[in-house]
Amino acid sequence: MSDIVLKTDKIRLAFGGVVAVNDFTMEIAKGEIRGIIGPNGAGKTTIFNVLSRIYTQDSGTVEFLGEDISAKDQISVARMGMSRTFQNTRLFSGLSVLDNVKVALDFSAKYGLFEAMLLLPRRKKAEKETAAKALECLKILHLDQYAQQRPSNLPYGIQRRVEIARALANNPKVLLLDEPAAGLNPEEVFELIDFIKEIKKHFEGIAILVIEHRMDLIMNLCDYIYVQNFGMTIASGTPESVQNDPVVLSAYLGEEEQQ
Amino acid sequence: MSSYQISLIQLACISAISVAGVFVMTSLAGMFSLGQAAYMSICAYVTFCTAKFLDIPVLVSAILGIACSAAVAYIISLPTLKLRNDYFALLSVGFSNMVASIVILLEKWTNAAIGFSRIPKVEGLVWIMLGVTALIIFMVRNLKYSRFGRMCIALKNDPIAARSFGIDVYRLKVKIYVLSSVITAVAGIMYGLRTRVIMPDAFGWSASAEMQIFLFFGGTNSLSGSVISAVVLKLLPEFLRGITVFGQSLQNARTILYCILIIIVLNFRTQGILGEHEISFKGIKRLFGSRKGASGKGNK
Ligand SMILES: Nc1ncnc2c1ncn2[C@@H]1O[C@H](COP(=O)(O)OP(=O)(O)O)[C@@H](O)[C@H]1O
Ligand SMILES: [Mg+2]
Repeated sequence: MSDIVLKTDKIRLAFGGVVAVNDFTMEIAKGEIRGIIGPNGAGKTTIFNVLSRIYTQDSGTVEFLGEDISAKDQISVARMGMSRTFQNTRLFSGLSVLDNVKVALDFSAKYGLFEAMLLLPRRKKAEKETAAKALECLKILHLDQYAQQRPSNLPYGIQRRVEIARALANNPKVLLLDEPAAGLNPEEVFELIDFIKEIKKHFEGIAILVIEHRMDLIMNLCDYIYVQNFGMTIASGTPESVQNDPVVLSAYLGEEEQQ
Repeated sequence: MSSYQISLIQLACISAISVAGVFVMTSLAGMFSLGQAAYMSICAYVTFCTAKFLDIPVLVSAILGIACSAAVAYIISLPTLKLRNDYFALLSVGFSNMVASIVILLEKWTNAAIGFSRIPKVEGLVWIMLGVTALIIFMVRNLKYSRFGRMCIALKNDPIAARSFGIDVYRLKVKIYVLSSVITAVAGIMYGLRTRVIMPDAFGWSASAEMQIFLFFGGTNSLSGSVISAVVLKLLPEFLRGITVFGQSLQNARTILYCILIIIVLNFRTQGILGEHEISFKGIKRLFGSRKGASGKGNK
């Protein structure tokens, strides 16, 4: 029995002539944090979109919890326990922070349309449970003070965290974070690193896959890193080994220094 | 109360019910339709024609009418809700025209454009209407603050993100569309009972557009706002009946009036008068109870 929760084998996806993901192979086990780095356009977000079934790969397989999910859709893998955030935060602007978290629990709540409309007992019970769970999730992540606010009224750093909290509400097996530090100032980035470490502590056994553009975040956080460039994996390994890999230095760090 | 006043209350109830129906699909789930009055038509014709020709009580045939409307809504929604929202809106106009043509085709039973007038008289109708209206508003309000309300707002804001939280966007939309159409269908029965004659013209494109205007005027995301505006705007022309301009009663200019109102409101308050605030008993109590710095917006 292995602890591997999510695994890909040579997934490939092309948009017209652009091969966005070229034979990408990875795996992540329970309790691990792994990273995918690479410059803009390297195909990182596309990998996430294939994992979460927004796109279907042209070839290769994706296995989640030991099951081939190539034929499944976005909804069913989400229900199996794969949660994600988006590169540009996608909080529901019409809902409060608390409702944003609640809505992540709502698909499984046990009451129907008519019970909802007639305020029947099952609705009351389920709503209570949902509210308690959502609030608990916000509390653990120190976000409960924002519960009644609309996301758009919050600083960007907090919005990022709320988005992560929403993704965690349902106790997922895998959490995919797409550039969680994008748009944050250096201080917020440090807070975010602590925040992710705290998640690992509170959500036991959760596997976290994080995409990053910046080196500092990922070096501090990840057990293992895949370096992508033009859809290909040019290196992979522990942060130390990747950091000193000459191929990586020329392809990625070089670009970083020029900026 | 004079019978004129009673008839105005009935008019207000019908308007409130139909707008509550449209609120469910448009405000909660973001589906914009210009054909919802067609469900008033389907339900009214099925209810009153079967009552007449099968010789059954209206209470029974009303259930038949509602069931038919739900079935039609379900069949219509399966292919159209796969489309993008703007195509869906376009198709809804076609659907409403189609229903009107079918009513005319079935002249033998519906009496086509002359109107079907063999509708029984119901005693104490105004009380029934007030009761039904209150019940429907109560139910829609509960829906808004349930998991379905939240999931609808989520899918309206961002369907891709909604899917990634396990929300079956398509199935939820079908459900909501059917529910919304059934509520509007109930307004059709009420309409028939009030006027005691139904004609296809009454449920055309402009009747559907009127519902959307009321909704947007009152507050795109506010149930109380849209219901109040449905009542006020529906009754407004009645109060303008006595006023004449160029020898014409101002009542006949109500379409122009609505257009002007909607242009003004959407320019200065894109979210409608109440926006997304709700008027609630709690809010009103807060307003009158503790005045110390309490905000009387009554949102939620
Ligand atoms: N839906 C799409 N249609 C066409 N091309 C796309 C699409 N999504 C991504 N791409 C292309 O795939 C490549 C990888 O994009 P992306 O995965 O967003 O990169 P990253 O997240 O690493 O910055 C880019 O060249 C991008 O233009
Ligand atoms: Mg990206």
